Amino acid sequence: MSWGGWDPFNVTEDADLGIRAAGHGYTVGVINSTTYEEANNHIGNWIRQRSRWIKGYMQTVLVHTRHPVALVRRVGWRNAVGFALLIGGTPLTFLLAPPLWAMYVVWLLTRTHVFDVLFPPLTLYVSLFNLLIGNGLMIYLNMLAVFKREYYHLLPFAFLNPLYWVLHTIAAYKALWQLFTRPFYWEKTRHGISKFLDTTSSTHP
Amino acid sequence: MALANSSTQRHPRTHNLGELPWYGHIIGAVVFAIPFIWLAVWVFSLGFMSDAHAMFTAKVLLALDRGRLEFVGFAYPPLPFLLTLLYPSPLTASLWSALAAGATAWLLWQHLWQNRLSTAVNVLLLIAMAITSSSAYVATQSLDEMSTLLFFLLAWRFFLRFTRRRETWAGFAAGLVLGVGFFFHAYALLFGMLYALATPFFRSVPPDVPPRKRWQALLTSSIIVTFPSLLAFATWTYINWLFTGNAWRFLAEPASPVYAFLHPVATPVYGFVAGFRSVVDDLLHMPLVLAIGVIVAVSTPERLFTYLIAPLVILLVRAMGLAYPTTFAVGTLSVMALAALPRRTSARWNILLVPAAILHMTIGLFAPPAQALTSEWGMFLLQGTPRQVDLREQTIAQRFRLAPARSILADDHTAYRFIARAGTARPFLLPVDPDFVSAVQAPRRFVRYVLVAEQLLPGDALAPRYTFRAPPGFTLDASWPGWRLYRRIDVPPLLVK
Repeated sequence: MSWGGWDPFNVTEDADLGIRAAGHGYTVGVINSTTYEEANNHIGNWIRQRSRWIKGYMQTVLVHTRHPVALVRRVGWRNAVGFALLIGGTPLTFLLAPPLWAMYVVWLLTRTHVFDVLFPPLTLYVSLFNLLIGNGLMIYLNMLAVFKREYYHLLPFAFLNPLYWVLHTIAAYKALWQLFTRPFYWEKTRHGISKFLDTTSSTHP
Repeated sequence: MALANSSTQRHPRTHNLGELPWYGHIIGAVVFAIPFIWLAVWVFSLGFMSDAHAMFTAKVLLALDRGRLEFVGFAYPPLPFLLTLLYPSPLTASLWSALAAGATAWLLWQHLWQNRLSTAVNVLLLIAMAITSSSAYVATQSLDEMSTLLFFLLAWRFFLRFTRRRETWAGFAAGLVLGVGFFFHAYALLFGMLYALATPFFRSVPPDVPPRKRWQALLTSSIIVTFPSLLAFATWTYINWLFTGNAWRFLAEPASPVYAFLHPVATPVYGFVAGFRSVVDDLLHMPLVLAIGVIVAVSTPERLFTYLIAPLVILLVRAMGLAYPTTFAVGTLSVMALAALPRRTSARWNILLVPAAILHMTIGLFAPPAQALTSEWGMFLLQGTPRQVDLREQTIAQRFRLAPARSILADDHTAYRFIARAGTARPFLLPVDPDFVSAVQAPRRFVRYVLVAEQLLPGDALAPRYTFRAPPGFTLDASWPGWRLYRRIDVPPLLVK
């Protein structure tokens, strides 16, 4: 490939290829289509899969930002900012969530002002917006997704979206651990689980 | 046969105004807003200022003077405050309100354009609804209520696309519009529920869908429409609890006309019978709404329940002792009625619609509902001269403006009109200021003057203490209907005759 291929040690080759493509002036888009790949419906399996993806994001951002000025020159400042926020910001968000949750719980129980210094007004308002409106919109989008596909019985599960973030956080810490202990290890995702769980389809084909 | 029909029953117009490009809608809304803008400017030039717009302006002036935006941000409803922030004046709020009224009229015109009535009759219907004194009040003096009606109507259009054409994004948009509407008015939540109730009457589900899934479809449709407004409500109660310790505080803000007993323009009624009487009284003043109700009952009887939901909501709100001011009720019912006029309405209904529209205008202009605000406002519009009360308020406020910074102890739960008229919050020591509580206890140490309302309103810290006796070391400087101004005995009078 004219871009020099992709990093064989990176466990999310798509993220790696995306930024390489941007460096060659290409744009990566999303096709409006249906993905028929099996949805991962087992918690342990899901965490394994996500930990690999998040570790891949960490690898990608660490590798491509070793020379930040060169990155900006190569992909342009808009792509570089987008890359930092999406590929770098995603794992960072999940990693920062537990300390922030802990601070919130401590504040809720004690009403201490110890954390005030960390939350000047603007930060506080943006955080509040994300907490309240951001989470609400995510729940709403999930509702809409199942509604459009007429999976009406799944709609209540949209309210579990905040728990989804907890699982992401667990996966992120596992990814961080592996980044130091087994950086190039490919966590296998087991496929075909839903076929065994769906008793209707297995007993009445 | 077709030719014979064409003379009495026009075919729908071939082009759909809804398909205009975005700038076409902007132009349409601005053009329809011109009469309301003119009215807003004229009324402002005569010195009239509604309580709601005075409140918004006072809060904005307070935030700007103290340099803390959160005074505005956590006041309810937040979006009218933020819109007024662009240029802090009651006229700004009135102009925004007029633009919202123009956009609403434009949306209604798009709907009327699709029926089989003549253009002249459609113009008459739109004017009849807009020209009543109550509608004119909402359109120019009540940014929160007018914006809510606009959002209500906009959401209705999305809602119809969602339920009839089963376009999922339109349900999403309808819900979001109602959710944003909550930041203009608390009753957007009620409208969200109204839409949820209406969903089973509108949502088309293919006949081959099993009954269980049919009910799931209807239920989830209702949730999709309601969720954002519920989320907005939960968000704001949380913020209030977080910053004030009282989750429901925002409902008692002077600009939040929810608690009837707190709202100066609402006549509180309690109980179902009293609420029913008040709604019937409002409806009897709106013959056009009744006439359209008859057309809905005859043409689309299955939708009659939906038509009755808005009056039912107003009835329930009032029966619970909450406020639904007549002006807002008239605006709600008018917008709802025009939006509900069936598209198949033909010219044979002119015999009912035209007299009803003329009667509607006549009653709305010359015999509005017998309520203090509507009567006063109606008289003001007809006379076209400045009111004594406005002139006096303006004169006093200009004197206040000259006072030293933080020298007048006042509570903006009641004194907001003076702050808005003064054009600055600088001379006033108000509840948001750190010294306020101490100043209420011992005014002599902190201020030169104390402004006290004679009427005892919940939340006002000064009236219970100083309405009937001067603070120690103060003497009565001046009094006028509803107010007393005390002066510290060692300072000169503030109000000179």
